[in-house]
Amino acid sequence: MTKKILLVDDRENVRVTLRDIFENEGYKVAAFDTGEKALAMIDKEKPDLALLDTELDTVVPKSMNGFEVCRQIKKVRKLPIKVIVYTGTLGMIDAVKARRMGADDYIIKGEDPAVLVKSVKKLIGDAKN
Amino acid sequence: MPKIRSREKTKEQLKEELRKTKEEVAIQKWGIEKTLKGMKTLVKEIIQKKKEIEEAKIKAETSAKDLEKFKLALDNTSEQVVIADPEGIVIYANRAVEKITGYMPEEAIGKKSGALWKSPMSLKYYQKMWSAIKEQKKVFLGEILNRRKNGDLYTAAISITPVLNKKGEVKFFVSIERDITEYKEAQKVLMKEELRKEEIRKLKELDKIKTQFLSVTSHELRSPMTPMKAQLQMMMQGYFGKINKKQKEAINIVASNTDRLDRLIQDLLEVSRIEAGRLKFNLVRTDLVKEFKTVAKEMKAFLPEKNIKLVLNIGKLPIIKTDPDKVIEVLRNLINNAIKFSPNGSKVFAAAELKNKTIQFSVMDKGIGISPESQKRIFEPFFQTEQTMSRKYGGTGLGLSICKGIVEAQNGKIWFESEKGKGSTFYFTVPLKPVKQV
Repeated sequence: MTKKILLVDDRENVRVTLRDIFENEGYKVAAFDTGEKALAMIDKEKPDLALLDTELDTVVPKSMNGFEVCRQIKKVRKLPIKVIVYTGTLGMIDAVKARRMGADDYIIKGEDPAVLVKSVKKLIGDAKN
Repeated sequence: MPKIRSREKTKEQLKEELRKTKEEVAIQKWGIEKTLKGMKTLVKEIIQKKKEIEEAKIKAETSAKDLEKFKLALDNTSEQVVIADPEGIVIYANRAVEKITGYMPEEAIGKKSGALWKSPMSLKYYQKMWSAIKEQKKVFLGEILNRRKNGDLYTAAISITPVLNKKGEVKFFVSIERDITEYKEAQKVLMKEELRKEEIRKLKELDKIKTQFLSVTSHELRSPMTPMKAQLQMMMQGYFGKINKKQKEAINIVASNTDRLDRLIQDLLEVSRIEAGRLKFNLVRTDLVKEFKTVAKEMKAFLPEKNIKLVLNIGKLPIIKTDPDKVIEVLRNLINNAIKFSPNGSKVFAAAELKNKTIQFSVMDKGIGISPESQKRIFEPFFQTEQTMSRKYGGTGLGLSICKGIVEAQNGKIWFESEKGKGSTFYFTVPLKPVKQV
């Protein structure tokens, strides 16, 4: 079974870039611009891992942030999904909060997406096995 | 045992608090690790970015400097450099443009190439040029005539190169021009000089041939003279029988013309010797006062019908080593001329004096004088002032040229002062020390 990644990021260019990268690595990618949409589809998509940006309200104001989506997955629904919370915004750096919400990894993302790929592989392994 | 219970409860609580604390420490530790890791990545990226920016900056600065150097070099090249777009519109012109054409580079930029300097070259030439660079896309080399801003014409050696892009289309034209006007002028001068040298060489050659011809012909002419004169003499003296009056008259005419012919031939011989530099001087100790007087006496018999009085003024002269015959020849010639050109009944003054280590002779007449145009040529062989003169007075036209030849062969000088209608004075000098012959 090909592993699937649920990607939640409100910026389209990031979604496109990350989708390309992970599909290139062989993963299936389901991308959403809000946590609400992602959570609504999560049972149907059955991802192995969720890749969540912290800040998710730039497109749809007052949307839930990545920490909350993480909490919904891990603490509320207790789904068997690995969660990586990442941020590119310095003001949103809060690894402790992510951990409290149940995140398996927390990444401060620079320009190089390789750190994300490395983390994904560490948590769920390669796309097929 | 409420106390114990409470204590146990506290223990339970403590256990729970400890677990919570441990969990909290783990979370905090995790958080710190993740944050640190992320920060490290960010810092690394920032450093990398900074480095890239600095490198880009250096690269940009370097290429800007290179470009500046390149422009500076091109701007100040002594040859005129003009870059035009494919339509021929000037997009760059260096400073040499101003130096060569007088137009500022700014005046040329934006205008059609060549529109400023109004060339007098033909339209055909330009069509050929444009066809070469635009259609055949070949380098054009040539020389063109252009006009400077001040209107002066100048010649330029020109090369126009079409610069092509990868597709082979003309991107722009680079024209390099050098002002070769001065070079051309210098070449012309040089050519003229060469031509002049060649002319002189030819003239010298011709002169040599002439001298040879003169020498050979005068010798050949001379040899029949002696038997001719001898036979005439014998005829006149009646060796071949009695001659009547009419015959005598005829023989006299022949004899006098033979004499004249002989003189002419002798003169020619003398000229040929002078021109060949083969004049011979028999140097002996000479009393020139005595020689002068002898000549004067002899000359009194010349043209008695003109009734000319020869007035002598001879100073004290030293005895010098010279060829008396040559001095006499010059004196005789000059006095002869003076008498010939003097009006009847007038005086001719002949003088000699010691002056500046030379003996200076002078012969003055009150005759017709020499016109300025004749003065320049009077010492040339065969030159006579007016054509009619030779008929009226006879003479070969070689006298003065021979005099000059003789005087100068001994380092003397000969010259004259003359005014048309008032008379002439001829001077010549004989140095006290003769020139030894090689």
